[in-house]
Amino acid sequence: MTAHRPSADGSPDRDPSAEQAPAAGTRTAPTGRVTTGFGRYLLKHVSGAAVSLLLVLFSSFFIFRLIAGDPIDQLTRERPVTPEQREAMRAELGLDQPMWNQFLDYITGTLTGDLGTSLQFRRPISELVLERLPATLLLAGTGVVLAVLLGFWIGTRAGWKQGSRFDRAHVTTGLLLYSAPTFWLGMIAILVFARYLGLFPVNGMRSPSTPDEFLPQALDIGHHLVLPVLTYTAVVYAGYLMVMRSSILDEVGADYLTTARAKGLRDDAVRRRHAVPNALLPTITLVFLAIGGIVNGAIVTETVFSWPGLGSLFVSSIFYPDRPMLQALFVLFSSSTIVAVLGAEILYWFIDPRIRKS
Amino acid sequence: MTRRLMAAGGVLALSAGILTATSTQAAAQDEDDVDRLLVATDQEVDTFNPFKSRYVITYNTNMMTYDTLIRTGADDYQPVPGLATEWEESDDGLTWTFTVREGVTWSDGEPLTAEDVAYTYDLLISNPAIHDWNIDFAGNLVSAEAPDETTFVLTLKEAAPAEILNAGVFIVPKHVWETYPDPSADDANDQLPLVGSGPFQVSEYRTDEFVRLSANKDYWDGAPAFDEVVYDYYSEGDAAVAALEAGEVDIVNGLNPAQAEALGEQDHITVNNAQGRRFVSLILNHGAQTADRELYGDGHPALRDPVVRQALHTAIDKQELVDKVLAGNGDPAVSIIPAIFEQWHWDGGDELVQFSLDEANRMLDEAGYERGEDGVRTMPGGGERLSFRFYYHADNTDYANVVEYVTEWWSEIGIETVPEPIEQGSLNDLVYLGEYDIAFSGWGVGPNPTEMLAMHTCAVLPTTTDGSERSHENFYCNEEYDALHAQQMVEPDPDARAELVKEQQRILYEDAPVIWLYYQNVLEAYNHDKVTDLRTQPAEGGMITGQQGFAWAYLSATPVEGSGDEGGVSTGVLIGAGAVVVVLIAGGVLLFMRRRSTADERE
Amino acid sequence: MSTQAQSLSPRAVTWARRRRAMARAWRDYRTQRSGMVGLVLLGLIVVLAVAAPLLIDASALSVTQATGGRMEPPSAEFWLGTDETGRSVLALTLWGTRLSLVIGLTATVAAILVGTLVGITSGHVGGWYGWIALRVSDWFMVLPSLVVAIALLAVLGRSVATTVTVIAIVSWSGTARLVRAQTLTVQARPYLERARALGAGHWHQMTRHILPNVLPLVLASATLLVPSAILMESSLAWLGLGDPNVVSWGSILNRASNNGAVSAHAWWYLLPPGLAILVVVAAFMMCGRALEAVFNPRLRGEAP
Repeated sequence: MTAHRPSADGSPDRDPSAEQAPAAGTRTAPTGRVTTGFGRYLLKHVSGAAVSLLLVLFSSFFIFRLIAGDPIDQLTRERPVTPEQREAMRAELGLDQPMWNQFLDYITGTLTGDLGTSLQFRRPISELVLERLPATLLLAGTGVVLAVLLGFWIGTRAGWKQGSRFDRAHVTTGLLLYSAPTFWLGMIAILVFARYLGLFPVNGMRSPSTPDEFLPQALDIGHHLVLPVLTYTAVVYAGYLMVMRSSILDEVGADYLTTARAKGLRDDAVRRRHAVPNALLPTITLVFLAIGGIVNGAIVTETVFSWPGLGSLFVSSIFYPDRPMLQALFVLFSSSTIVAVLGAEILYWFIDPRIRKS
Repeated sequence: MTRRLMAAGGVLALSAGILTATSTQAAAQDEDDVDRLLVATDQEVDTFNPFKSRYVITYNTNMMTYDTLIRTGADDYQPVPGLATEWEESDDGLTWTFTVREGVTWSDGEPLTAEDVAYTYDLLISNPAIHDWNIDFAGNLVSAEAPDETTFVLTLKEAAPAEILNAGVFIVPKHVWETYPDPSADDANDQLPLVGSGPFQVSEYRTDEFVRLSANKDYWDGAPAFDEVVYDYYSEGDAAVAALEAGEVDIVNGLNPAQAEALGEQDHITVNNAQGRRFVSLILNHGAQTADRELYGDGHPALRDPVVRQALHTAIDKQELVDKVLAGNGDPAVSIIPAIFEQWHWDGGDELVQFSLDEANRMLDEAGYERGEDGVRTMPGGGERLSFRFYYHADNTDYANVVEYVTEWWSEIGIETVPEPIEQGSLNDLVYLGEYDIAFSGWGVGPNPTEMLAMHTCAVLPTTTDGSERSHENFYCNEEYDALHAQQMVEPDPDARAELVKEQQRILYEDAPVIWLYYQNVLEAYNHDKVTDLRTQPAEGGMITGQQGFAWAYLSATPVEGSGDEGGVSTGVLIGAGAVVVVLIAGGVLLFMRRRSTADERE
Repeated sequence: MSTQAQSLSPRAVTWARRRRAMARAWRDYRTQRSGMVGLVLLGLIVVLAVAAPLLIDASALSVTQATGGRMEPPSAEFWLGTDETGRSVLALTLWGTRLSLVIGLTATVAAILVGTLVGITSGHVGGWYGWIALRVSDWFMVLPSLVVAIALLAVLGRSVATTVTVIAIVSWSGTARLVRAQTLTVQARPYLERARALGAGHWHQMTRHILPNVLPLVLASATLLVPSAILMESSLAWLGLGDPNVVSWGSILNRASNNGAVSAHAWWYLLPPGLAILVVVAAFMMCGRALEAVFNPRLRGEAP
């Protein structure tokens, strides 16, 4: 069953199906669908993803062409230019070509890894993307890992002792953090931890004066990483908490747990040996499906903290507007979510026996 | 389980603490005794190619990396010797002879001669792309020759003294540039460090992280006191301000009033509230037209009447805008050349429009624009209401505030406005298509007034109506003005030229195709515990960043004694701290594992 | 005699049944403590939003009539201080409630309408249309919503209307999915087969049988869509993609960060709008979760 994103969304995007995901999505067999064999299942989903990718590729070209304004204006902002200069720039950017040629160039370019040239940086986009990717992976990766660990751990405890003080306190905290806009939490974090307390830098990923050696650089980056990661984690973990809690709730009443208890296993052990592993797998898959939220969160967090990643690049490109860059990043973000969701769907086959049997 | 987690949390908190402590110090100190001047920036690098770059940041790096023959003076924007020690103009103004300074070397040690100068100017003439790119200047060049090592002769098509004196052509090293397959390409000089003859050369660049410039210790005008100037990226102004307070950056510009005020309260920071080169204006659609005087677009007919435009002008309280919108950080504008260029600026004299709603009402009444029943005036003899579309840049909150004030004043004189926030790109499209009534505009003005004044000449009117030719500001064309413009461009005597330029401004002011609202101050701040002796341009109330023609401030900047070695932590300490962190984390993990195994045994 | 009873009774019976169901749902809802808290909070917020003009005059939003100084800290006159133009932050936050709620609700209604329409028709009609509708909603589901929203706003220009449209575009697919699944379930029930056998047309089936059955689910899902729409609006406005002329919580925060509120340590400027968003979103989430528990008994008693 596709496309039930858990509520682990990074930021603004809260999905209505979120809380129901484990219920309506993973727990009930999909209706009206007959699957026979892994091959067919795989083919179906891979072809679906391929269609989605193509749609992204096409729409990206046309959407950003609709942005009003002459790109040359952006390049010559507030400086007088002659018509000759304009023509020269136009030719250089390939804007004098007919639309159809531009489209062909774009498609062949994108498929061969040539994403064009950025207007604002005047450099190949693929190069810029590769430069920025590690920063995004570091921030989002650390944030997601922390959020998953925290969410799963608390979610397990809360679900196991449903209605306890622990459960209520954590669900409430999670819900409140979840309700706070990411950017606002980031601003408040800057105000408190960087401005009032002066504990952390507020900008970027490293200081230019740090010696160019591994350890000082690592420490510097770590230092810069703290606030963005905390902000990111704070907003995201609640989603994982809820999903894990629901999964555990599903397991709590299950027969095999009663059996396990009857065998004399302690409550602690029953939880860890039996309930958690069973609840974990579907939850992990849902984390995969939540990659859209991870991208959203990264965009906002990177912008608040001037983190030199792909998200802040996207936002600055919007205001430029750097059309080729927007085009490329749109394709990149969208295809990464499509691929991740495809991965999750394939994972389902191995996790949820009901898909195979139905 | 809880205790185990608390332990793990404790380790985490502890390591975070150590990380904080050590790296704060690491960030605050200059590890390797390098005197480094850190300047905050938020602009990307377009290209380091000095013939092509158009951005403020690369303009600055070019000014530091290269030299020009003639500099724009620090005191009053007057031309002063640079690489040329003296220069001479022929009687017909077509031949210029420069004496090139002796004993100047490139940053790679090679000597700089007139050969290099001739090579550079020749690129403008014979390299098609570079020629097109700099057409307004290069189009007037005939030949560039170096008869001997210290003499450079430039021949022109038409006399243009002001253009030559303000050319700002960055002299590039022939011996390096000759090796480039295409000197006009963006990546022609991506080989860092750049070779130049200026006080600092770009030596390292990381997109969105920093641009590093290293000092030229053999600089002919005296070695810079700083070893490096580093442009550090801060995409949010507040982050740059925080960094300045924390001592992580030394110079920040582009402050807003709240930031300047907050910084002013800090002991170690000097806020420089400098007169700016930028004006903000309202352009009125007085009749969009082509070079053949064919009217197009859909501007409101009332705006073709100078009386209406003057009435609109009279009904704007510029001082109020400066006080309220800019919090006093600016000056009411008069004309197209900002007051900072004292020599060229026309201050309005007796003809200065005084804010008066009564006077504006009287003007409109007399011209026959009578008020309708809803209080809004109509065209003489009835007909179309005076309701104007009012476009402003959607990302500018200052403009949004200006719109509120102006709308209110104009409603008092029976004029309705329909404000609409629009993206910069769309706004430009609409303006050049003539599909607007009133719109915001703003320009940063350079020391040579020709550049700005040229935007209002008939010569730059579009030949088509598709809005693709964008050299004009808003379709202005006036023969008297054009005659003055042609005259001032060739006038060798600065005082006589100033008179002509002022007359041009007076004509524009009276005709009011544009209403200049205010000249915006430059709010910048620096850490005076780290840097001193920053030379401003102009000398009186001038700016540090945003200088023209030469980076005077960075050449004169001197590190404050003893600022470099505060709180120094050696690499050894850093490594030690790192080791502690590693041990603690490893310990935590071990503890976790051990507790886990005992717990398992107990089951 | 009997004709009258017969003609009235099916409808009456239906309504009586629905009334009973509603009463039961309400009874169940009342047992959810956090749901009730959320409901009370929401009620308060709506009252404040509606009464805003009575509490503070609209002129308090005018830059030209502002009486305060630049970013003044809280005082007796300005309880929550002022912004950079001297307007009261309290007034801005209070008035911001209106727009934030309106945008959140309108976008949700639009998304729900489209989602329900696509969901029911694709589930009921099936075939090529169903397949395409499924693919399209799948596509919108996997795309990162903020990326799409930013891109669309950049193209469409900024105004309240485009913001609402864009939010609706990125959020309808979840509802469509949900409704489609429910439609398929309902379709399989015997009474629909009976209706078909009796000659009921597609329209009749969809409006009389399927729609009433999916509505509760849609309602619960809508309650959870509103907070996500409000958050999305605030993020977009904060990024600078909202209409700068209107006062919403996101645009207040955008102004605050553009004008150096963080540097000026103007916490009074940053806290109120953000807290307002937090409270409204949390209230909607509480209600939504409680509703879900009501309509989805498996989760009953779960909400905190």
